[in-house]
Amino acid sequence: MNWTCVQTEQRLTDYLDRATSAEETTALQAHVKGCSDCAVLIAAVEATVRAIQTAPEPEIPPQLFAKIIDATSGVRASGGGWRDWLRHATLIWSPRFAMGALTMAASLLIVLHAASTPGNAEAYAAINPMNLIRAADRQVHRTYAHTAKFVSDLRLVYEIESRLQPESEPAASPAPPTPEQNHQPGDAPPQSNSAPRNYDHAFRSSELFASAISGDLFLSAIRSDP
Amino acid sequence: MEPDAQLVLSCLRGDGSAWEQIVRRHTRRVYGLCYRFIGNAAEAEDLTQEVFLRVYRTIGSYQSAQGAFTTWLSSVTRNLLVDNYRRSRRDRMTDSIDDAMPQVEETHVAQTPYHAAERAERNAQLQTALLRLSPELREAVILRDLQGLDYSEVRAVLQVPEGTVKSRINRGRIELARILEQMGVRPA
Repeated sequence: MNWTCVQTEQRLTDYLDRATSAEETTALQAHVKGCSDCAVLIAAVEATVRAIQTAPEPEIPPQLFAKIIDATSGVRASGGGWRDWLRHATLIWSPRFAMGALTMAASLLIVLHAASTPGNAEAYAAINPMNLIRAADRQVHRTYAHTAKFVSDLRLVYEIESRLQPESEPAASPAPPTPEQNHQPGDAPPQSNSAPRNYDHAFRSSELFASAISGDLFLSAIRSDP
Repeated sequence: MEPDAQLVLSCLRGDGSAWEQIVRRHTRRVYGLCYRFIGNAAEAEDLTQEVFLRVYRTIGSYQSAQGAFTTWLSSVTRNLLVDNYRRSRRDRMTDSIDDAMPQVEETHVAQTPYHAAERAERNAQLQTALLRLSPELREAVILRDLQGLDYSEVRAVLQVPEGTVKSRINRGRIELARILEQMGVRPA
């Protein structure tokens, strides 16, 4: 059987698919042995087909499925709704975003609290730097007064408590004497037992602490501001 | 009855999850066909949506006795691709041939950077060569070699005799090999 280059081209796919008859296959192979053009063509087509068939599939765009559903039925039976939203809102879970959101929320709370806004539109409109400073000033005064009153009440309670204690009991827990110069004018007179002195020391410390936290320095800074 | 045909029946009864499953099962196939034919990810995405929109509206016309759902789906996709091609060819009449050549985009991720780059380059070259084929030969090669349809399925999609299908696939493969050779690409 005579075989030509044109026949090789025409029957190439059948040959690669092993769909040629035994007679055709023998004739083609015999022709190819003496025809380098046909040999090159067969090898090239074989390699091309292999390359196409093993080519990677293109990556599907991530939102394509959701877009199709939204454009058609509009209903996602599985995974849709808030789960989908959560899946795509991964940014929210990042520590940086969470910290930023927390800081913002805390700042907003502080500002609203300091401005003492009742939550209506007029109150929000009244938020401006001068109002905020005045409100903060008021708040600091109030906090200082509350703290001072609390410490004073506490002192009174402990003093009464210490005076009501029996004379024999304090000896069980001796403590170093408190220097007399630590007493302030208006303080209760020093007692013979050590417990009231300890309490007094504690009162003094708490008073100083309360004074510090209530922003005494801040208050004086604001007052000095014209 | 094949699973797709059952899903179609459920879908026609108003089962939303059946439609979702159909979309999930076939998005890759439709997108792959569009992408290989057009060579542009954004256009392929738009066209894939268009295909499913048409399928959603005409799913009642699918009859399982006439063939597999994938064949019917490929026919719908192919018809839209042909429409799109005609439309874009009209648009290209005023453009230069270079401008009309779609940009090849590669998004596949391989194991190592070196292999990824090599694979991406080879895939891009293959895509470029495919786009240089005439649409008739291109669709035949894509359906047969990329989508894995057999000759009778390709015949059903293209609505041409099986002899024509074989001839187009044969010519398409030879043409593709020659284009790759001209491009200096030697497939492994």
